[in-house]
Amino acid sequence: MMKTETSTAPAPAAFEPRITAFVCNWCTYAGADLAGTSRLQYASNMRIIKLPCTGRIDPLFVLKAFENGADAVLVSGCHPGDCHYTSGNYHARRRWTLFRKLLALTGIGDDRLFFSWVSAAEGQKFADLVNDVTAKVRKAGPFCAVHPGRRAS
Amino acid sequence: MKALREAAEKLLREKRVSLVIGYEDRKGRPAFFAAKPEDCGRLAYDASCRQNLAAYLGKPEIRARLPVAVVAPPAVLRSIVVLTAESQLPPGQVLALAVDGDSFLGTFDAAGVAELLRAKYSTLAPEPALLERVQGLLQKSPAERAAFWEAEFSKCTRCYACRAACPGCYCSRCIVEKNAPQWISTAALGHGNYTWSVMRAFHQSGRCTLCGACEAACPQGLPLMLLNAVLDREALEEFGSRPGYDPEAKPLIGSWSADDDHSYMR
Amino acid sequence: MARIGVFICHCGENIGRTVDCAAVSAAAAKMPGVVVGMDYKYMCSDPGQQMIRKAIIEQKLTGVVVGACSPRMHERTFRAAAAEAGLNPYLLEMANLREHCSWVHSNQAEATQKAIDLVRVMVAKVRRNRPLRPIRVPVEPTALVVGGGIAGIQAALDIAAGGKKVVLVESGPSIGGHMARLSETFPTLDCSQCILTPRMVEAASHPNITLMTYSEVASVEGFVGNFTVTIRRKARYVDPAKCTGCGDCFNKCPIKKIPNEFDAGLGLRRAIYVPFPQAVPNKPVIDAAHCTMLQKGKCGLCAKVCPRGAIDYQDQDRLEKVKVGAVVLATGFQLWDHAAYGEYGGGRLRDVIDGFAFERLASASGPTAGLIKRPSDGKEPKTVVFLQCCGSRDDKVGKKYCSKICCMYTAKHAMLYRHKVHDGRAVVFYMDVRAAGKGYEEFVRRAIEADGAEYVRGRVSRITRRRDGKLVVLGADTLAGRPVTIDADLVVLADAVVPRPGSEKLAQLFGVGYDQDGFYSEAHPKLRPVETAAAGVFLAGACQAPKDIPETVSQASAAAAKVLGLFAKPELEREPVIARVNRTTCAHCRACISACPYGAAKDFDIVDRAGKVLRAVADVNEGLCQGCGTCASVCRSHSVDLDGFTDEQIHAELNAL
Repeated sequence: MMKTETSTAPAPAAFEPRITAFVCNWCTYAGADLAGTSRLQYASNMRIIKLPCTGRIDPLFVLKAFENGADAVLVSGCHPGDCHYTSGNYHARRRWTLFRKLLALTGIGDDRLFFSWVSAAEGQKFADLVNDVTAKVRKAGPFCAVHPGRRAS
Repeated sequence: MKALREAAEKLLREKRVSLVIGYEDRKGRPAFFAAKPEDCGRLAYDASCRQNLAAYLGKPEIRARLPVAVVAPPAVLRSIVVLTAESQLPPGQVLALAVDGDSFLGTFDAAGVAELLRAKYSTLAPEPALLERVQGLLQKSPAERAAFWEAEFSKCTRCYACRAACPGCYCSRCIVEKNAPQWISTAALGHGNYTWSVMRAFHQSGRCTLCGACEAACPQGLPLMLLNAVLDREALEEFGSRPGYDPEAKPLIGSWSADDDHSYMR
Repeated sequence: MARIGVFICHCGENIGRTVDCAAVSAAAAKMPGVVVGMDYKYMCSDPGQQMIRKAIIEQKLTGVVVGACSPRMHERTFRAAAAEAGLNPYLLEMANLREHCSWVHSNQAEATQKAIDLVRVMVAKVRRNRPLRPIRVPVEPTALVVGGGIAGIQAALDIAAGGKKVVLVESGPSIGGHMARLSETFPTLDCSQCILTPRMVEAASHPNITLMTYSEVASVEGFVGNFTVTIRRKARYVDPAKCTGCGDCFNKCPIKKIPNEFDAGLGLRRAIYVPFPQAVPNKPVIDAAHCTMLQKGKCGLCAKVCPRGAIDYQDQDRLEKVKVGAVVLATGFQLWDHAAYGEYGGGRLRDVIDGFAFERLASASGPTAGLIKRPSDGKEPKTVVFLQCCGSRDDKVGKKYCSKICCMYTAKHAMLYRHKVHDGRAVVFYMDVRAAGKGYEEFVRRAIEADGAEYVRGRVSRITRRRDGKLVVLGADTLAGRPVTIDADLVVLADAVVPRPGSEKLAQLFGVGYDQDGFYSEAHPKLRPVETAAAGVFLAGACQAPKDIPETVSQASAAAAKVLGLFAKPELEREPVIARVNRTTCAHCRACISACPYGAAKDFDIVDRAGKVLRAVADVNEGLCQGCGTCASVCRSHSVDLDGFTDEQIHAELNAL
C-alpha cells in the first residue's frame, strides 16, 4: 500500500492546492475587491468565506476547512486599530496566537495556516498574499494524508 | 488527615455546608461525598489523588445542594478561583478544605482561597517533564507530529471522561452535542476525535490549571496534558496569563490588549 | 423544501470573458435545492432584475443567489428587487464572480471552476438563510451636546433651529469656551467676544435648549435613539433661580487673590465669582476649595450681602437623568504644558507665557485692559519672541502631530503686538509656516510685510533669564545658517493643542474610540468624519483633532445635520445582523460580555412568575449590537449566534467547498 502511494504520488507541479480563506467584510474582502477592480492577476486556488469581522471566526471553522480537504487556511482582517467594530480583530489576534501553537503541536504549521492584515486599500497586498500562500502550499504539498484532522475520503 | 476530617465534620455539624466533597480512604482515592458528620472519618488525602473535585461544582446535582465544601489541593484551589471569575460559583456557597501533600491548611472561602494562592502558591509552574515532552514533540517534523497524534487519537473511544473530569467543562450543552450544525463528528473516528480533543483543550485556554485530571481520567491513556501544556505556556509567555489566581480576572479569550504580539501576521 | 434560483451575470464581457457563465448556471441548476439556473448579459439592468422578480414569483423561490459583481456594488439593488417580488431581501446572497474571479484570473477553466465553487458556497448558505426584518428602534428626538465652547454652542443652536430639543452640558460655570478668551480672531481680526457673545446669549435663551453649566456627564446607558445620560450637576452654592447676577457677593468676597483660570492666571478672582463679565449664565459659583466658609465655616459674607438669599452653603452635587436620542461630543482642547521643556525654563519663567496668556493680555476685557504688559513687572515689553511648534511636531518630548492653529495665531499675536506697541520688535521662530486656508497666507504676509514681524526659520534651543530681567533667547536661523541670540522682554510659546483632561474617560462612557494622543476617533477619516464608531454619537471641534474656529463651526453644523437627520424619522431602521443568545444552553461564563466591543452583551436574569431569579444568562441588546459576532466565537458551547452569519450558514458554506 505504502509502495503504491509513493510511486503514484503526483509530481509537485501538478498539485493544485485548495485554500480556504476566512476574511472580514470591511477590510480584506474590500481589499480583494480592490485587487479585482485593479485587475491584478493572482492564483485561483483560494475560496473566500466572508464574515462580518475576524472576531466572528471560531477555530472550529478552521478545523472544519481542513477536515473538508483544504490544504491550507488563511485568516485575514483589518489592521490593528482599523477594525470596523473597533476591537474584533484584537480578539481574533489573541485567539489565533494561542490556536496556531496548538495546531503546530498537532502537525499543522506555518505552511498550512496563514494570518494577515489586509486593509481595503491593499489590493496589491491581497494579490501578493494569495500568490505567496499558494506558492508556499504548493511547495508544502498536499495536506498530510494521515493527519488525524482530515476526513477519510 | 485528622485535621481535615475534623474540619469537615465541624462544617457539617454546624450546618455551614450540606455536603463535603472529598477523597475516600480506600484504594485509588475515589471521590467521596460526606453528607453527615459521621461520614467524615472516611475522608483521606495524599498525593495520589488525581481527581479535580471542583469538577463536581458544575454539576446540577451538586449545585442543588449548595453550600458545599471541597477538599482542595492547590490545582483545585485554582479551579475554584477560575470558576469564581466565570460567575459559576454563587458567592459564599463554596468552601475549600485546602490540602497540600499530607498537610491540611484550613478552611477558606472564595476570597480566602485567592489570598492563600497568592501568598503560598504564586510560583506554581507546570512540571518540567511535561514541558520537555511538549518541546520534544515540537522538535519533530509536522508529519511526525501528525503521525503521533493519529496514533493517539485513533485510540479515543469518545467516552468524554476527559470532559467529565474537568472543572472547566461545565457547559450544560457541550459544543460536541450541538447537532445543528454538528461541528464535531461524534463517531469515534479520526477527524472527529481530533477536532474534539483539540477543541476541548482550546476551550480551556487561559482557564486550565494543569491539574491533570483529564489525562488521569482517560481510560485510553491519551497524552492530553501535552495539548493543555502548550496552550498554558503560550498564554503565559504571550499574555502573562496565570489562570486561577484572580477571582476578578477577565477571560483570556474575550479580552485583548493593543500590545498583543502579532509577529506571525503577514 | 428549498427552491433556490441562481442568476449568473455576464456583466457585459467583464465576467463572461473569463468565466463560462452558461456553464456556471448549468452547474448551478444541478446543485441541491436549486430549481432555476439562468445567465444574462446584465443582471443589474431592468430586464435582468425583471428575470429575477419573475422567477421568484413564478417558481415560488425560497432563496436567490446572484453570481455577479461584489455585493458591495449591487447587493442592495438585488435585495430591493427580491423584496419587490415579495421575497424577504435577506434571502438573497451574492457570489462575487467579478472582483474576486473574472477580473483576477485569466485561465478560463480555472476561473469557471472557481465561479462554480463560489456559487455552490452561496447556494449552500442561502438554503440556511432565514428571513430577517430590519430592527426598528424608537428615537427620542432630544440631543445631548457635551461641551459649551463654540463647537457645542453652534451644534446646539443648529439642532434647536431644526426644531429639536437640546441639552447643552458644560463643565465650567459659563459657556463660551476658549473662544470667549480670545482677543481678536484671524484672519479678519474681528473681536472674538463681539461675534461669540450673541451666540452664547441665544443658546441660553433658546426655547429648545436646556443649558446645564457646571455639570458633567456621570454615566451613560442605552444606545442610538435611546440614551439615558446621567448628568452630575456640581454644587454651585448659589441658587440660580434666586440669583439676579447683581454682583454684590463677589464684590464683597474677602478671598481676593485667586488666579483666574479664564485669564490664564494673569488676573485675579474671588472665591465666589463669575469667570468673566460676559459669562452666560451671568451667575456666580463658589469655588469650594478657596471659600473659607465651606472650608472652615468662617465668613459667610456673601450670604449676608445677597439681597435675594441665593447663597446656599449646604448645596450638594445632584445627579439628573436626561433621555436623549443622539449625542454631540464637543469637549474641545487645552494647551500642552510646556513645563516639560526644561530648556525653556520648565514653566518657571514668569515672562515665558503661552498663547492664551497673550490673548488675555491683548484682550480689551483682559486683566491689563488690552495693554501688553509682561507678568513679572508689568512693564511694556519692547522685544517679544514668539515660538511656534512648542510641543508640536516633537515626538520625543511633546506630540508628533502639527497643532494646526499655531502658525495663524502666532502671526495674529505678532500683528496685534505691533499694533499696540509701535516701537516694539516681534520675532517669530518657526519650522514651517502652514497657512492653508481662506485668506490665511495673505494674513501671514501682512504680519510680515505690513506689520514688520520678523520671521526666523529655526528652533530655539534655550531661554534663560538674565539678572536685569531680560530673557536671553538662543536660537538658530537655519536659512542663514547661523546662531541667533535675542534679548527679549517676553516670550510667547505656541504650545501644542491637546485634548481636555478626562476626555478619554468620557469617550469610554460613550463607547467612542480615541487615538494615542487622546483625540476622539471618527468612524471613517474621509467619509464619516463627524460620526464615531458608537452609533448616534457625533463629534464637533477640537476634541477630534486640532481645529480653528471656522473648521470647528463647520463640523459642529455637520454634526447638527447628522443629529437632525437621525431625528427626521420617529423610528430608526437598522441592519438586522445582530447576535442572539440561546438562553437554554448559555452557561453564563460571561466571556461574551467581556468580549463585546459595544457593551451589548449583558447579564440577564431568568425569573419565574413571582420574580424569583432562577438562573442568570447572557443577553444581547438589539439596539447596541453592531453585528461583529465576536461574542459568538468566544462562546464555547455556541450558545450565541449571529443572524446573517449563523453557525448553520457557515457550516454549510464550508461543507460546500
